[in-house]
Amino acid sequence: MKMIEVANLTRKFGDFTAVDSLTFTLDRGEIFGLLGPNGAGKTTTVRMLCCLISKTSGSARIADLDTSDSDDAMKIRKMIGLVPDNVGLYETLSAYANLEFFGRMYEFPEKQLKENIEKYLKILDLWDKRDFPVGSFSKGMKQKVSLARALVHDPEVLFMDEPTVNLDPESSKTIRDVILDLRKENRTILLNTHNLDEAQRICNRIGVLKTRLIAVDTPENLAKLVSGRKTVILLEEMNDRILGVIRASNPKSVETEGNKIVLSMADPERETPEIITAIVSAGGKVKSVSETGASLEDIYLQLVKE
Amino acid sequence: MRLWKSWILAKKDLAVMRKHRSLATAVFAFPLGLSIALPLLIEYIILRKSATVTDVSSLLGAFPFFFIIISALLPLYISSYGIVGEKTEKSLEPLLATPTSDGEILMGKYIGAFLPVLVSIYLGLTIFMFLTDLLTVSKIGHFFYPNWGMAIVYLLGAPFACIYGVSAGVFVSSKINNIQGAYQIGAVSLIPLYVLYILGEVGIISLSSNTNLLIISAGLFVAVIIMYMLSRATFNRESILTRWK
Repeated sequence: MKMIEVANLTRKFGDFTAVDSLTFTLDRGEIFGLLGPNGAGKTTTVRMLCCLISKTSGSARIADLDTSDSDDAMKIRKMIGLVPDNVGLYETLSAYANLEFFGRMYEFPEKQLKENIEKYLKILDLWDKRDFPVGSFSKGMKQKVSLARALVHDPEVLFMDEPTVNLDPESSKTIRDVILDLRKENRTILLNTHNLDEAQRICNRIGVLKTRLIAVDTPENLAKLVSGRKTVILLEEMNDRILGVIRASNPKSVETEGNKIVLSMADPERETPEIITAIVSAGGKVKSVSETGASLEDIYLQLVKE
Repeated sequence: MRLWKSWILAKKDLAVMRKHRSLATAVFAFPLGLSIALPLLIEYIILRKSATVTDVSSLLGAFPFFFIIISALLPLYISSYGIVGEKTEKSLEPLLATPTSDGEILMGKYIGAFLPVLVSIYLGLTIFMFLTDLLTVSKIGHFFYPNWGMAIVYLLGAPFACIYGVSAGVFVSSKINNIQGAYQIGAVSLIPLYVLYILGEVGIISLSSNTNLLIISAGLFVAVIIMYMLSRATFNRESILTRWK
């Protein structure tokens, strides 16, 4: 059984289409990253999947339950956790009181709830501050409480909307580590993020969203979608004559940075030896030759631009 | 409707209210202050100016209407705070993501605003009756309170006004993003009550008449139903997340 099944999911606000014919599925234990620019429809998608807003057309099922059926929606809400883009905590209440309140709203057994509150506050290094009002916390600490809130009732599926945005590196790492631990526990996670590095590190698959889903694949396979391979040649010394012979070989692009030349070629296996030979013939001394793949940022920018 | 879920939310709202001293003070200080100030007014202004028993009785009969107005004003403030507070803290989305129906959440908001105000109003009315009786028994010759007029205020007028205030607060808060603004606009909807009070003061209608108090309570009941329907129509997930400011 797929944990999340989305087929042709569409949401319109009047004439404006926020999400257009979205189709994807998630297996149990999978972390799926939704990448997209602001206004791409990421939050609207999460809200539809969390049964917070209705769809215009298409279908969305969580653990085989229909998000548009009111009875199913109540069951879905019970088995999912949401980390919204705003922490949305009660600032005058303590971290513990916030988690206790939400745990009870999720109808989670009281004994287990207390155990989970302690467990997650300890994991997130907030146990000593459990009785402090959330309003006195830093942004990173609030985000951790927000994450704990999404976890206290042991949800099978988690929706996270930009969980590490604007956080310091240490808080971001703590949250990423928790997400990776959740994958080991076989929880299914849909992660909205702008952070390409984060998506690459923790997601099994990535969907690039710009109202429509432009591409869905593993980070490695996405890299093959764009011609991002580049050859980096480091010379002892750079001069116009060497640059001239390189340009004469007609690579797709040439970028120079001091003694470093970055080349993009149609057929690197055939062209690289020819260019090296030309450089040496022109009196150049090659210190190293290496190849870089397209980064997720390159892929993302190219896909979104297209 | 699972009332226990609404009660969890109401308890949270009450806990938040306790943390905001100004809010808690407003809820309890105003009715209690009034419960002491009004009898003192009777003692110092009326009795010492040798008012007749009829004058005193008429005045005493009109005073409980004051508590009806306050019963609507105070929950207006609390419910505005409850909704606008959730909006400004962005806590509505995670709350709506819990397995709780819109009706249960709304009911929780109603209970959280209704209970403290009603307790405070009842406390105020009881103190008011006790002090007034104490100060006027020698002049009137009997205990003026409790009477049927006060019973109508206790059992009908104050609770209906209170529910009206909560509903108005919820409805207005959906359109406004600051508590003071929501409170002030909500308070405008209470103009008919102020007009009634003025009409009572200038002698056009009698606010000590049991029949009139019953008619006012019935009017409040109708207003409660209309305002509840408006707030219920406004308070649904879709509207909150896509249309609320």
